[in-house]
Amino acid sequence: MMDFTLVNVNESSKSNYKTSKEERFNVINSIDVQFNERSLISYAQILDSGSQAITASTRTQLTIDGLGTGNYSTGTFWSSVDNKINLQDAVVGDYIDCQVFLPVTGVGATISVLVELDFSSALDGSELVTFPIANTSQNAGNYEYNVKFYVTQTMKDNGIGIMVTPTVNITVTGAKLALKVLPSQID
Amino acid sequence: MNGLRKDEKFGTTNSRKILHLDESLTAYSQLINLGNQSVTGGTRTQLTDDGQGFGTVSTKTLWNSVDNRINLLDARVNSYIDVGIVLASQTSAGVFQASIQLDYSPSLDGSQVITVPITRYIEYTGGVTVALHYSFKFIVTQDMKDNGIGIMVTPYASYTLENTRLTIERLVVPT
Repeated sequence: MMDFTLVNVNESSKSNYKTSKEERFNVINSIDVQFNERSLISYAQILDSGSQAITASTRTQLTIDGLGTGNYSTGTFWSSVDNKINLQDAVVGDYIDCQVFLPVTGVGATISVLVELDFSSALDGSELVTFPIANTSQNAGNYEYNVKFYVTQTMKDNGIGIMVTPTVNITVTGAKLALKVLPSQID
Repeated sequence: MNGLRKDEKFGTTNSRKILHLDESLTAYSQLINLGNQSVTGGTRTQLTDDGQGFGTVSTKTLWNSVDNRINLLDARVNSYIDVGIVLASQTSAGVFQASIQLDYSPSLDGSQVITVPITRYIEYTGGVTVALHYSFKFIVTQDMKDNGIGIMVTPYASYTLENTRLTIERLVVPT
């Protein structure tokens, strides 16, 4: 994403209402270009087409191959190679709304599943985007995690891993990531 | 951005961008139910919200309080939808658990669902109102049907839901 500034364009447009048609046309063209440079909103839903077994009490990186039905993205927010969220283009002040959705099967007891967003290079938990979030249910089900945060410093280029730690062995089938980015420079 | 609409006169060359300026990028609603709704344990029930409670606001009609369905008829393919639901209840000590699913089949029989159910669970000592929060985020992948989307709740036990709160957000990136 690149920067755009709508305020200046608006002011420019207002001041040109009484100029020639051609001049006004040029003003609008400049607006078009600037809209193209940075989308007002970006979002994605990334889905896994398969399953992933995760062992009890073992902190495991979630994998999503991006091949599930309904996969869609307005930008490049996910790397299915290293299985990380890609927010390198986000700038300070951007608002991020991130949902991790885990359909869990094969469990018949009360369980708890912990999810963390980790942007440390080694995914060792030393640099977490937010506190870990735990969900508990009395049985297998669909575990939903929603994390909202603002970008407060330049994003690292190593991506953000999604780390999952269940209390019992689980199988996640069709994991989904939904991501929304609202840029800070809307006016 | 209203002033920019004056430039519609510039014709088809800029038609795509004019669409961008005329079209709302976002629409959202917050709906609070004024009263209570009793639900029975193990019974799949349509959630109701009369939109008469304090705090109700809407930039567009995204909820129909007559048939209690989400209205996304105007949502284009690739629109991003975010539905938030808060169920609150005050019961005796125990478990407050319910699963919720978005269903767009005409009879709400689960034959055409947008999402799989999400289950929330909380265990508490009773005597206070506790809430379960749900969040559904999805992208529209085909033209929406005109029968709306029902919110189906299946509670673990019987509860009285107080002032159910819904938030519905629709985003679209111009193409």
